[in-house]
Amino acid sequence: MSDRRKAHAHAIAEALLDLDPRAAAVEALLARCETRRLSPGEMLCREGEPGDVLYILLSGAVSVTAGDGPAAAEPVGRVEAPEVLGALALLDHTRRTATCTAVGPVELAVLDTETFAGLLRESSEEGSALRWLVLASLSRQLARTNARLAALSADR
Amino acid sequence: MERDPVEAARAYLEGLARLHTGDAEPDAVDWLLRRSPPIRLAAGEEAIRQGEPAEDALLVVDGRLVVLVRPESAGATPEASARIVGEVGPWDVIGEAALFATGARRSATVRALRPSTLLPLRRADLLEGTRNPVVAAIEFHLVHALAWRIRATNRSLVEARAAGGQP
Repeated sequence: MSDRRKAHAHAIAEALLDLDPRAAAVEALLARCETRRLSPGEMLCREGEPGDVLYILLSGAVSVTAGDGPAAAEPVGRVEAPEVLGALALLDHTRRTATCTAVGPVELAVLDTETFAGLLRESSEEGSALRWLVLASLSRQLARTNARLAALSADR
Repeated sequence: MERDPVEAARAYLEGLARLHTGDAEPDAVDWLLRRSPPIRLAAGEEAIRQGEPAEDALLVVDGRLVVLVRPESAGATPEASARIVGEVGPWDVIGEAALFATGARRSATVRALRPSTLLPLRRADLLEGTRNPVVAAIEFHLVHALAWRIRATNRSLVEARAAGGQP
């Protein structure tokens, strides 16, 4: 178990905190999370539900769908491990804007609202690891949103 | 009599730490100010310039600055072609992309509209201050600043789509 955690921590530190691999800090963070496994096709979160937990995708992939009715069957994206999911909804106390479903077997680290809020203010290795993972995730999200806005303006 | 930039930055950091981590030990504040002394700009001076290498993020301690973007195709054309995209003031953060990507370049020019104090933040210093509550408070502030920026950009996106009738 702890060997596995170490391996996940290395993968996360390398892929998401690439400037400065800090596997030990990520490992300490993972130790504070619950681990969850999903079978292929199992739903991780549903659009419209309160966004009350943070997911760190450790292995596998999830498909992302949005909207009602038959259109919802059309995936709008796919997220591969390692990745952080749900940070914005947790910070904003908003609802999930998409439904996530396991594509194959999926392994996740889960942080509940209270642990997330506490760690986010904590001056510790794991607090720092969480803040930098969330910052990196938000920074990528902002870059995507900015690119969409720029493409829209360029079309005019 | 103008305020000393170090004292302005100290008061700012103490406020930030009290707000977010409830902890404003003078030693923790001093550690950061020694590594990262604040910058004082006169009106008209540039904090960052579009296209230059991005090595740090900057927290606005006091003052007011304007954010300018010139079209990429304009290359080295005069500043006259630059478009004002907004203004920033106390508690805002600029240039934060530098913290997440190596070799990034500034995507905008930011110029002081009046005397302004800025606190530079380098990734290496923040990572070295893992156990410093003031560093934790700054990172916490950055998280919320980025979340706020995403919300604002999402709103612009919705408005742009509504205005353009695009899907």
